[in-house]
Amino acid sequence: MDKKPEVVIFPKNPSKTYGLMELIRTRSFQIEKGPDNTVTSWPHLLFREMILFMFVFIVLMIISILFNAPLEEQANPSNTPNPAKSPWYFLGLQEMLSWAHPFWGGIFAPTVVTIILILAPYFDRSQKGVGVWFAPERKIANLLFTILVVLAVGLIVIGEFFRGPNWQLFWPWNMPSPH
Amino acid sequence: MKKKNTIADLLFNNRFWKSVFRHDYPDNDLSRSEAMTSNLFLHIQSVKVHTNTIRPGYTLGLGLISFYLFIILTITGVLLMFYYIPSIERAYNDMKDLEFAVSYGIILRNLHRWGAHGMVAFVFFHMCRVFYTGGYKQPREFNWGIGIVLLILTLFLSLTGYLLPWDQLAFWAITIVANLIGTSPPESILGASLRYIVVGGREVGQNALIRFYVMHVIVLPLVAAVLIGVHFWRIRKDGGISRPAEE
Amino acid sequence: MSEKDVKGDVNNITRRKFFLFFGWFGILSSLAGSAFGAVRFMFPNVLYEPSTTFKIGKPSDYPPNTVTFVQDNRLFVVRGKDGIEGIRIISSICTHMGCTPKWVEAKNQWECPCHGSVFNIKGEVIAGPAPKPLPWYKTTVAPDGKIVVDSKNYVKPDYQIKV
Ligand code: HEM
Ligand code: FES
Repeated sequence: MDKKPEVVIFPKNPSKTYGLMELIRTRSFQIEKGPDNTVTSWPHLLFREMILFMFVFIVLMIISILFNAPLEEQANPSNTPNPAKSPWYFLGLQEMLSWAHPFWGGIFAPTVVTIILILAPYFDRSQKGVGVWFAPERKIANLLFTILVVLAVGLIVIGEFFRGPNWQLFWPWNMPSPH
Repeated sequence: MKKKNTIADLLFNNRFWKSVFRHDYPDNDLSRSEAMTSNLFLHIQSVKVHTNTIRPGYTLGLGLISFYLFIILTITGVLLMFYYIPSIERAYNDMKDLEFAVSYGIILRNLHRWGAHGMVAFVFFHMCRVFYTGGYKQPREFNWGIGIVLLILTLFLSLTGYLLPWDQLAFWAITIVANLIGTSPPESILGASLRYIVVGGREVGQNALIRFYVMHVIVLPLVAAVLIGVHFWRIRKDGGISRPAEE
Repeated sequence: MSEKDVKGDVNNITRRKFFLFFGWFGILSSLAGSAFGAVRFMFPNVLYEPSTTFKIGKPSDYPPNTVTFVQDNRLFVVRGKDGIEGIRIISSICTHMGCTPKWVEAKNQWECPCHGSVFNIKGEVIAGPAPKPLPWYKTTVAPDGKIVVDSKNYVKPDYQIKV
């Protein structure tokens, strides 16, 4: 095989540290994808964000057209509804309130949980398993957190579905209708 | 750009439009980066993001959904304020009016109420997502802390809003909460004065209503908005959304 | 000024430090002062709440051997129960979280709807999370024959006004 003479299309100027290497047909400055696995925020991120917003708004609008927000009788300080329930997200608290001196369930427990949560990253410092859902390396942390979640949700479920008049326990299907 | 006399040209190829958006339509990398950096609201996000960030299965969009609900709540809340008067004589009737006498009042009220429920739920889900993906770890410890504060603010926002209709649900929920605050030890000193300052007196009445109202419509939303700003800023400063270590 | 001058002049540095300290002290203490004022501002000095001493009608309005709920004043009038003949007034504000317990005649006790506290006829907690008994209010009879209740003054369960 003949060795073809190398054709120099863009001769390099020896007095310069840079030179034109190649012309390619593309709309980007990048020749190849960078090693960093990134994409431009516009449109890849922004369009997803906008689609999500439309989705959230449409779903919320449909719910709001179908269901009316509750409004009970006007406030009456001398007549407590039975049972008197707080909104669902506070029912876990209300459930704990019914166990012991209100300070423990109502103030102490939530404060302790908050402090533990805020401090968690300063104690749980291993970088293993970051960025992966339910990483096997993080079994213990995930287990502890799951216990917390189950407790929080469980108490809410008990308060919402299992507590009836006089804050007594009932099965949901035996629940006396409120009067 | 040469004039082509199309409608699009008329709209976008004029001095006014170009004074607002100083770049071409973002269809190449230069104008795409300009689109992000030249816009106050967009530039809290970086020009380029890691592919993991836009993977729906990673964040599930939960934080964004919380943010969107916050925005919707702000807008609907401001509209409701035009009809709602925070007085124990008027409040309940204003709610009834919103429901029956104001055009689309019921829709706004529903959007606001269900949006608030949704926000509590989605902020909680978002926290779970961050934990289960290890997103709270160094260097994101501080942002996790801000998140916890945001969760608490979200709960307080819901609680203060819950009193405003001045119906039975509202009154008794607030009575319980006020007395709960009163049990902070030492009860006779701290608990009693905390309860006094929250209720604005000894009984849950007009003073309590106006206090909850001011917290609900200005103090808490303002603090939350600022903290959400810091939260987003920190996401960027912490190197974007967490992702698996690269091999 | 040469470097030596700056380093050597002890007084100069002290003064600078002094002003720095003084500046920060001024800023922080005025912030603290304003914060104190703001917090104090939030405690109302005058309340437009109903008086804690009020009248609730004549003793004859309350038949013997009954427990009557007086809505407006959030209390129960107890007459001739628990072996005590006279009229006694007990609070209807649950000592737990402030709901209104209901009188259950059949069981001779009060039951609270909110977290299930139960109070016996003496006002004592016999079940549930309430930390304290329901208080009995000091009661007198005004010259016009009406019952006067002082809900700031607590008395023993056997305190009564004779009828
Ligand atoms: C008002 C409430 C909140 C809003 C609007 C909000 C918004 C967001 C958004 C939009 C993101 C981007 C990623 C995503 O969408 O998941 C994010 C990330 C993050 N959020 Fe929140 N968030 C809120 C509350 C919280 C809470 C309660 C926590 C935790 C206690 C938290 C901790 C974090 C952390 C650590 C990140 C970075 C996660 C990562 O890099 O993987 N945020 N937040
Ligand atoms: S308020 Fe009566 S038991 Fe809680």
